[in-house]
Amino acid sequence: MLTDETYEIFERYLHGELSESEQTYLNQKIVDDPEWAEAFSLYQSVDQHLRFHKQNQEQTEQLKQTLRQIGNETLLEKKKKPVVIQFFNRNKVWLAAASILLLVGLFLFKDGQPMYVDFAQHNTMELTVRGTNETMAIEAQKLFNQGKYQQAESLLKNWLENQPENTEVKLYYGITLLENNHLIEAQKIFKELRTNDLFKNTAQWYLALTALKAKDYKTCETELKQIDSNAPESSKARKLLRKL
Amino acid sequence: MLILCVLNPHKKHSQRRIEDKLDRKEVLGRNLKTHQFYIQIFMYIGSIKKLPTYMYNTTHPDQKYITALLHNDSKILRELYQKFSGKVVSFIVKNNGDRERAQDVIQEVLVTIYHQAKEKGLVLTAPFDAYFFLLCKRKWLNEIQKFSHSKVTNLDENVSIHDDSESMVQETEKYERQSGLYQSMFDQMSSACKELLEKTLVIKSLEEVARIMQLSYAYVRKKKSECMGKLTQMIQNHPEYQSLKN
Repeated sequence: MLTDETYEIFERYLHGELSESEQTYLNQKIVDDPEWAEAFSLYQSVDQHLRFHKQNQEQTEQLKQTLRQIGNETLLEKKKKPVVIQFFNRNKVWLAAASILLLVGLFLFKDGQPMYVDFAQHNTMELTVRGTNETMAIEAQKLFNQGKYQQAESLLKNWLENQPENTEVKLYYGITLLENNHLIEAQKIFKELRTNDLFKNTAQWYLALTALKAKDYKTCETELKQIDSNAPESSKARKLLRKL
Repeated sequence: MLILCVLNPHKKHSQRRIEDKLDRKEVLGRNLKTHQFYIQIFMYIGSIKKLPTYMYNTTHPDQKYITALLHNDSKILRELYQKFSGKVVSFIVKNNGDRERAQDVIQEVLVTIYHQAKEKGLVLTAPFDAYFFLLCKRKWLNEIQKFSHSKVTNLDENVSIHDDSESMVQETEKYERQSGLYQSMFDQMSSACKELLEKTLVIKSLEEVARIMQLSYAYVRKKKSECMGKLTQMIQNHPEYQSLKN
């Protein structure tokens, strides 16, 4: 007969808390009573098993992730392969024709839709820093030059608030907004910059890039056409115009 | 006459044969002893110099896949997938499954093998190929039999079945069923018991659990043993337990 006390003896055994006489009693019971023997072994097995699974949960999850990834690579992406191989075996001409079509397609695709990233090369930020917020300004430039636009944005905004007339900072802030996909705000900044004769063409170029990023190819074209033909931006503007 | 014939020359002859046999046995026995002696020496050297285990016992070289599961070694695991999963996938695809389902079955089997290896120390005594394929195949057959009565084709194994593979498969399946039974009974327990047990499973010392739960040590130990008692009874009363015992 198993009672709550029986299980408590099992539990205390697991923690090595049985006295010598209790240990002798338990040993004897296990030999004499098969019910005790079975319950005792199950008790230990369940305790060990549940403990193992609980403590091993994280490692199991990591293994599952590895297996899922390898499975995706080796089992699922194989699907397309046999088709290509059969194609190749049946008729090389078909393969050649398909490759040409693919190449032409890629060419047309690339030609028809110029990508923002292909044209978004920004000058490095090298401004002379004056005033109180020197460290912040240096940090902002560093982040901008490293392409960490997310972090640079708030610093540049801060800087611009301190020096609202600093057009260079304004330009870089605008670029950061553009990179961070805040297109409407970026457009506003570049439009303001356009009124400054010194920054007119640069601002115009960035307005075109903003439109390109928004996939508004028509506006992009109009903006590009407003860039002066002798401006430094005109060569990349012509290149982009040809792709549009 | 007949008796003489049988007894006289033959007796000597047969006696000689028996003696010969005994001699040979002795020699064989001596050889065997020497052989065992050398094995022991070899194992001893092996244990000192840490030779790979398969050099002196019956562990199969494919044990490396088990080790890779234990260490989450993606390089060897990738090799495992490339070498052994093709057969499983084609079997499952031929039998009302698809590649995604095959991937799930393979993953579940590998996780079970991992658990068994980690908890019980699984030693591969036969090639991984047959063992793994059989496990996946039987898992898939169980699954489709549960949900439909669709006819299963291609029941012939494409692998040579080793006796060791069969017994290893049975061990792993038993382990999986046992795990499943323990876990499902645990899930059915009262939330108070589950909470207490969860804590005692993560934290090894009951003193710590008692401190966190702001209860006395004796009380926690008593409660834990009661909950465990209930759990073991629930397991014992489940038909699956009886079938596992047999």
